[in-house]
Amino acid sequence: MGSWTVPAAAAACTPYVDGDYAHVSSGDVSAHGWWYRNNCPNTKTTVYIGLQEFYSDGSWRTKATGSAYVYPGGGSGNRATARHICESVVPAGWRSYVIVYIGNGASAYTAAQNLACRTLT
Amino acid sequence: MFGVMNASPVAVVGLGAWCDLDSPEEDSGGGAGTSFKVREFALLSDGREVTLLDDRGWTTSAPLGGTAGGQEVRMSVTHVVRNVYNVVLPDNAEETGEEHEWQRFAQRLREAGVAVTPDELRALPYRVILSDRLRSRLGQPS
Repeated sequence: MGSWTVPAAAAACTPYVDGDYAHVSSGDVSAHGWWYRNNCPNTKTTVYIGLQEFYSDGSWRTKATGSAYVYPGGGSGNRATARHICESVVPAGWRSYVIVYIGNGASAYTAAQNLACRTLT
Repeated sequence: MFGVMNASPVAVVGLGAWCDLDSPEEDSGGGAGTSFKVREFALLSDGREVTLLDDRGWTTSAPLGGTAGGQEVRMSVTHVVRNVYNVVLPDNAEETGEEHEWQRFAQRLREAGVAVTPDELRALPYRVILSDRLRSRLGQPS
């Protein structure tokens, strides 16, 4: 007697996302995002990142976005970048969000940082 | 003549990055993710330490520890150390291939009275140090 096999849904994997703290360099504020495979395949997927500035009404407004189709693990060439010019050195709060959709997907907001960088709009 | 004639100039003997948790202890078990702060430093021949970069860190969606599928899971030291190297990468690393901000380090050290070139810094040993509480949370001996 042979055993019966039937099509089945693949178990969805659970990736992780990581994002570095927003920081200022060369007159820009920037942030990077990457992903870790955990139990996901070692393949490329798209990492999305958004850079947000805090406003006095309590809202976070997205000032720049980026994406990159990259392998897991991060590092040079395996990270997505969002960048915006600093139009003033008056301090403001900055953070980023990072998202991947592979498997169950993952997302995170980075811890907010007060930086000597503000936009004028 | 004034001054100390025989004093040896201070030199940089090593570079490194120090990493610690940047999340409240109660938040680092999962849910909102975990945040880490990183400070890069130079160790001088006279025993002093000069901070080179102290505005870096990261947040991960990965829990530091917890249970999944009935089994205990814990973030690996490899994950943490790799991310330390990730967050200190220069913004233009994709163009330059540089792993650290050598020019900025040399400038910071000159401001601290230490004459050193980026090439000299590249040749120095670099190590990552995890705080005791972070090592403990990762299940590592202090």
